Amino acid sequence: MASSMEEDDGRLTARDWFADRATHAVPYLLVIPGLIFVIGVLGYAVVGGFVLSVNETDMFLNKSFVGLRNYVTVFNDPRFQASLIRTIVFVICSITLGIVMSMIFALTLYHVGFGRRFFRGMSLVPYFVSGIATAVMFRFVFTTSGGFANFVLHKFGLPTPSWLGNPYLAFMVAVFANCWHMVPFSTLILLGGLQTVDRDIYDAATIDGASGTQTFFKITLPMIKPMLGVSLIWVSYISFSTFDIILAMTSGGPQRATEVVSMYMYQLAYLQLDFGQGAVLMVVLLSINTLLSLFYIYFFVLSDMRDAKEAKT
Amino acid sequence: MSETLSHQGPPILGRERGSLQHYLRRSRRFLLIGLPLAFLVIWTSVPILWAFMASLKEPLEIYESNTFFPRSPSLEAYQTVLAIDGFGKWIFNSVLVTVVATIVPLILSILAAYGFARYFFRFRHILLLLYLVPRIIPRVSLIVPLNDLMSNLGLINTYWVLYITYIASAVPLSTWILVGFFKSVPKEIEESATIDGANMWNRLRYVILPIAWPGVVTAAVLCIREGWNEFAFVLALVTETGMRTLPYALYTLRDSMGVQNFAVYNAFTILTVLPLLIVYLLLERRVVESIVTGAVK
Amino acid sequence: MNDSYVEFRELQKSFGSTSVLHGINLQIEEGGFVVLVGPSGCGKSTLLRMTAGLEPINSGQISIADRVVNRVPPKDRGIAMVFQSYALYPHMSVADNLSFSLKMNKSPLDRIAEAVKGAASILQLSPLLQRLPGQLSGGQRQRVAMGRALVREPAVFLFDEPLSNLDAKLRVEMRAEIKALHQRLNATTIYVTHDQIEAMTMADKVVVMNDGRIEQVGAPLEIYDRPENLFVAEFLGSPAMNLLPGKVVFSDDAAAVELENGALLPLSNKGDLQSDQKIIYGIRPEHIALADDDNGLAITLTLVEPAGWETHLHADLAGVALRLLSVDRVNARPGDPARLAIDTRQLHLFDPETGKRI
Repeated sequence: MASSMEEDDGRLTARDWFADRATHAVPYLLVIPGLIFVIGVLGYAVVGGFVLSVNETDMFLNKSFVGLRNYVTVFNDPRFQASLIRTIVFVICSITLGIVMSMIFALTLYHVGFGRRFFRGMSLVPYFVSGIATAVMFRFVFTTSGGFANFVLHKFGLPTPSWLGNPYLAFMVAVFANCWHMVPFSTLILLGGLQTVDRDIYDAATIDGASGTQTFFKITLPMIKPMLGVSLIWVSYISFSTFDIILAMTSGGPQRATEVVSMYMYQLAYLQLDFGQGAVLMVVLLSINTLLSLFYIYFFVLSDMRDAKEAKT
Repeated sequence: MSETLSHQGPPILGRERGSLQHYLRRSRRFLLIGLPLAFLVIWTSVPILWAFMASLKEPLEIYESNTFFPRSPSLEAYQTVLAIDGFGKWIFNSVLVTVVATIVPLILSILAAYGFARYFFRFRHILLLLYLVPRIIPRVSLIVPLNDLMSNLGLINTYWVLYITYIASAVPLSTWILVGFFKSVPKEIEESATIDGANMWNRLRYVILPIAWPGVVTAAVLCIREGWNEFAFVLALVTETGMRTLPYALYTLRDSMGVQNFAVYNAFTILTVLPLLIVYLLLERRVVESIVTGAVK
Repeated sequence: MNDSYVEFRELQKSFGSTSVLHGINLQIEEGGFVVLVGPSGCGKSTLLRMTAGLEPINSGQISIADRVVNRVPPKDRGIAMVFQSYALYPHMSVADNLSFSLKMNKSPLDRIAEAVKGAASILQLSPLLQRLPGQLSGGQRQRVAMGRALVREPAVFLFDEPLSNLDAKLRVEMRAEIKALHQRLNATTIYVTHDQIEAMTMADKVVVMNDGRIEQVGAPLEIYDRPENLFVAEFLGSPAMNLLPGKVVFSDDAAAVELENGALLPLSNKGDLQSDQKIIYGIRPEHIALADDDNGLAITLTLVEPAGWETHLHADLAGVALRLLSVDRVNARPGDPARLAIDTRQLHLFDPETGKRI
């Protein structure tokens, strides 16, 4: 009985070696194709943006290297500085209003007893409306004659301002429109967070004598901190990148009241055809988002890890 | 009345039914939830409803704005929209690009997500990071370099440029969603399939995808959404009228619509929004579920 | 080697830098029911998965039916596996679950139908063929998992803690079913569990594993009656064997073991023992009885636990804790003094350094 065990001396044959290599290659083959698109296009564009920012491009797309001149021009440009400040204010307003609204909505959706599915589904609708359409709709809601807002105000006998003509009001409307668009997603994330909290904890809190407000601030909020983090991150990204809505609603007006960085970038690159400066603004936007990410990672992820470590000791 | 509101949060400590305090407590609770709920409904629906109503009204009626509902609703505005020269082409463009920008990213991300979910290979973390980091890039910021790049490649005003850019921005999101769903398929089921003789394609087809299909649906819906609503890329890369997609076309109407065309303007808006909404409402349950359970972040 | 159907030779396995299996050697006869038993982390599941082909082998060989299968993919090894969580395809009906492997192998449809019908009738699954796993009870799901294995007509059945997810009553039922199935098919089976009762009741051969090594191999009662080392002695038997460290003392002709607290425990004969030899005295609770006369050891009862047909007693022998098992009802209370009689024929003596039997 010639056992095949004696034939296999334990050493790998060439065929085995190839089989091993093939098995190891599989995950790469799966992952690379998508990566080609992502890095190839987006990565290339980012790099291209940096390149553009240090070049001066003429009408025929010829480039000449100018070092940091574009950056200097841009950062010294008062219009840019104003737009940056405006952007920051816009983002802060959006985040504040947005998070508060989503928290309230999330709590409401959490506690509602009937038609849950209906209300939840309905609340996400704005997420699916394009930025342009949102802008058009809000224009019609807030237009001086013919808008819903003034329609209601008129019915109550209150003054009917020119929303989109007044710089401050127009800014507010932009914030509203932005919130309308981004609150639904944030709401659902927070709702998810609320649902992960064990009901028993609320019971324990009641026995301990905590009131509703106390329970919310001292128990609920800390427990959904990760979801809050996700919402915050998402809301800030979207707000910094707001473009479609503002372009279609006010085009940066009136009197540049809503000219945020992305709007000014568009202005520079497409209307003034200064790609170099436009690219600088791209770099600015990117950097802000990157900084935000790092900040959030530090704040939320690392602090969670620190808490976990402390809890163990 | 309050039977409809379940006690989901802190329990109401026992009080006698029928007592005044009980009633007050209940009605306070009703208000506490009912008011925000009403606000939510109104806030969400007013912009859309208002536009819809406007699309049915006569232009002058809109301008005077003393009614909510149209006095004599008419679909004339919609007829006008449909008759606009090029409207059919724009719809076609939107649909075509959206379909391509959904199917291709889905395929790519199913493969990639499977690779990330089931294989532990040396560069896994780095490659995964490369997939996810692009999500923080604001699409609008890329319109400057993209225009430059695509002009040099001569791709402006082609379908290809839209395909490429849409796909590139959809893949990260799609992959991220799918990795989570694929990972949640118990490994043992796949191992059992391996013992049964299934190779990787079989496993994908018979095990992973059937079990993780809510994730695929969610990823698909979100890809469709991004494709349908995309504006910045079109703005940057398309100049021909015939190559426009719906959002861009809507944008260009802005200056050409005077008061007499308000109804048409609103009708156009509604029409651009409707298809995607329908898609969403059909698959709403899955999508909402996915977001709530944190699979989409 | 001729009559071993499955053989493990010098198997080693590491995950990264952690070594989990250190040189496993084992032979399994055709038709045998071998149970791998041991505490969590001892490597038994890893060994099973290596046999199935789900984990790569670092060194050593596994052979099934005289064929080295190290590099053979799972589907070609002639094995079938029942997982702890059953791993049923949740979106497929029972019939589809059963026929999946045949479909993958592109068997003709009539053969598939026949095999499914056969497996279903053996396992009483015929009325459930169109149901989904989600609609089945735990026991039914278990049977579908077994049916899936059956349909493959494997050379070796592999079970990975299949009963862990069932409640106590079901477990007893399914134990009997699995054993009956084995007897009916006479198929070689490797069964992994951490439950020593399952091991004792089901196995032809028990393999006790600990920390990546085989501690002892043998028939259930063999191992129970003659544990080769401390680990096996302690692991098998519930309640566990009493293990008391002490040293050998001689007095005239008789030998005894003196515990650290001075108590003397009887030995039957001197044997090869030497005076002052350090030793561990092992006696199972069921081999200690309460003595009527005054000749036994003086102890104080600390706890009396009547469990129906047997009574668990905890006793204190001048500071050392002992457990006894009595089949008679005991009418005593904690704190009562009593006397013990030890059946010295059932002694187990171990060397404290090596842990091996003397």
